[in-house]
Amino acid sequence: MRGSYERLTIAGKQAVWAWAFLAVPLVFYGVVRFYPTAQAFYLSFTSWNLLGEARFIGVDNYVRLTQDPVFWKVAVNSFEYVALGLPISLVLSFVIAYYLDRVRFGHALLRALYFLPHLTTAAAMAWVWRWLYQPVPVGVFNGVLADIGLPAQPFLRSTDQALPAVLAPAIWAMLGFQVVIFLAGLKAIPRSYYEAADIDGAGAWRVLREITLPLLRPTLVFLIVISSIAFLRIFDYVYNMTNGDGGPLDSTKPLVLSIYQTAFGRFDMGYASAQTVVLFFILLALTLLQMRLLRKPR
Amino acid sequence: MASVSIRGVVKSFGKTPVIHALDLEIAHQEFVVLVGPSGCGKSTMLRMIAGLEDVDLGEIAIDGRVVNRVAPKDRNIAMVFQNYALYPHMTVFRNMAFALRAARLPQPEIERRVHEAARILGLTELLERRPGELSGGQRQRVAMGRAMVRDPAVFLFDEPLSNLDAKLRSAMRTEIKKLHQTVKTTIVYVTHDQVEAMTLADRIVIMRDGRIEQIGSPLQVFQKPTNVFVAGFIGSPAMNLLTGTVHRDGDGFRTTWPGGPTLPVPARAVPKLTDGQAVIIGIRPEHVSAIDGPTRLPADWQIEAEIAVVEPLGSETLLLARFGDHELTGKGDGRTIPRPGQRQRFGFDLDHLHLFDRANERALT
Repeated sequence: MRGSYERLTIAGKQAVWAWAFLAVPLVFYGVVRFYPTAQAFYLSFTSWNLLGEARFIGVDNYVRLTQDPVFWKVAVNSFEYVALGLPISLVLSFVIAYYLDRVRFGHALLRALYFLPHLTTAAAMAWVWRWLYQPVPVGVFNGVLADIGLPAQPFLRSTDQALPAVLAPAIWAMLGFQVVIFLAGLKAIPRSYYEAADIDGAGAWRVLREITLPLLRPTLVFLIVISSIAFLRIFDYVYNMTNGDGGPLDSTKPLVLSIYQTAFGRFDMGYASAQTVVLFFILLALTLLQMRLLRKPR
Repeated sequence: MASVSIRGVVKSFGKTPVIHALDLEIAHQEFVVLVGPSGCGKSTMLRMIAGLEDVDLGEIAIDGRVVNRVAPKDRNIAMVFQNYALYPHMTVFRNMAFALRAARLPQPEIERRVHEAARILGLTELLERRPGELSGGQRQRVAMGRAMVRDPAVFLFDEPLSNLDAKLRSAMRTEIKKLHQTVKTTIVYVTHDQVEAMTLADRIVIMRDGRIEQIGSPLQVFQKPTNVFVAGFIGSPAMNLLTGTVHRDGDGFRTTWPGGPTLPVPARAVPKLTDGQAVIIGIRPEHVSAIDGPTRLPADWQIEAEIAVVEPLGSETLLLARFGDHELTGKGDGRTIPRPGQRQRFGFDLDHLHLFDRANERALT
């Protein structure tokens, strides 16, 4: 054994060690990630209530999905979280990062303050925001509206306003992460590009459009993919701000909460797994599409 | 028409002064090279002309107009950066057209100018490539093309050749000189390489610690360095500088250094000397020649020394020789190459002897 190791080339020895170190995470991922994923695919073709044996029922769960109005509502909600959350959070975080990049005084402190919400427990933040949305005299937002003479808003009690109201703290928490990533991306652009553009007579808008944004493309791709996935998988803000039911009238319920309720409320594991598989394919399709659209030209 | 005037310019970064009251007049169509060791303030000076750094005190005028408060884009200058600063996501054409598009020139005019510059620089075939697909020399030419299309009043070059290998560097040096002869635009060029300065400049400005040490044509600064720093900085291999003294000898003076020969001092230095004065003796390697066989040099212009290091260059050979505690670089012809440890006769060409006052390091010859 020892002899055969010593006969290996240097590259061969490095490969042996690389695989030795990779073995631990491979086993971990296999047991904790890949096996349950495969299991979910299998369960989506069964009927199973955690007790007894899973019964194979073919594509019945998927047929049921297409006919389930709540599932369609939930799917639309999930897309709304992404469609609103992604552009709003990216524009805000880019603007913040763009100007923060120019600030020397208090730069580190400001950056830390922007990052803080990202570090805070989602449940705690959700509950604080829940208070902020309450009617007067408890709710701060309605208090401010009253002070400037505007009518009080129902926020979380309205089927129209509840989804954006839940999304707001999620965006706020996401901003910290996005700002830090944008800042790193901006810092990676050599100053001499800006100086050359300055001498070339390009105005701030042209520099932003033709130099900063194109050079930020890898950062943008990363943030768009990561943030879309995060908004598609939104759960804890909804759960904590709507008493765990995604209400009122399912108006804020995202896919993940629906899966959670199906699995651990009604113990309908097969149906929950089918929804999980659908979420998996939505995430996969969205990510592939974004990577294709945003791929480096040529 | 574009001259550049720098009048009493002062600059510091925080509490560190980098430029001390600098004055410099650059004439129309002149090629001026600012040269000096790193940290001498030459790049900062260039960046102030470009408008990338503010001027603390004094004024900079381009073509008679004071530009201290004028934005870089309104100074009618173009700059070539050390790392070229080519936009990596744009083609060569778009890189070169960038300034013209920013100036909102009509498209046919942009195309005409870019193609004209590309033709002069031999970039026509490369216009659709991106900078990442170009070699170092090609990128360098694109950077020059980007500056050229603007037809600026002044070109600024910030160490443009320092990222190239030696062979390409000398080729590009020729290109830049040709370019200047073609377009005849005023050029301010910054480098730490005295060979670049010597070969390119109409006038060289030698800087140290934010001050000008000497201004002059390449030959002036080479033949008549005004102080020890310039003497040691200009010329390759560097001038030999020895710590010695001078002594009266009849009507003239003789000079010597510990362990060295006693050499007569050229007559032109005599009026400035006093008996026993502490000096620095400077003599270039090409004026310390290895002698094999008979010579007409007077005997006291000759000395024998032990060879320490031999550096053959082909056409000639550099010889590092030991005189007592001192070392001197001399030159031998390329035909016979002595061995280290060997004794060798050297002759001094005393017409080219430099003497500097040791107290203030100023030239006495």
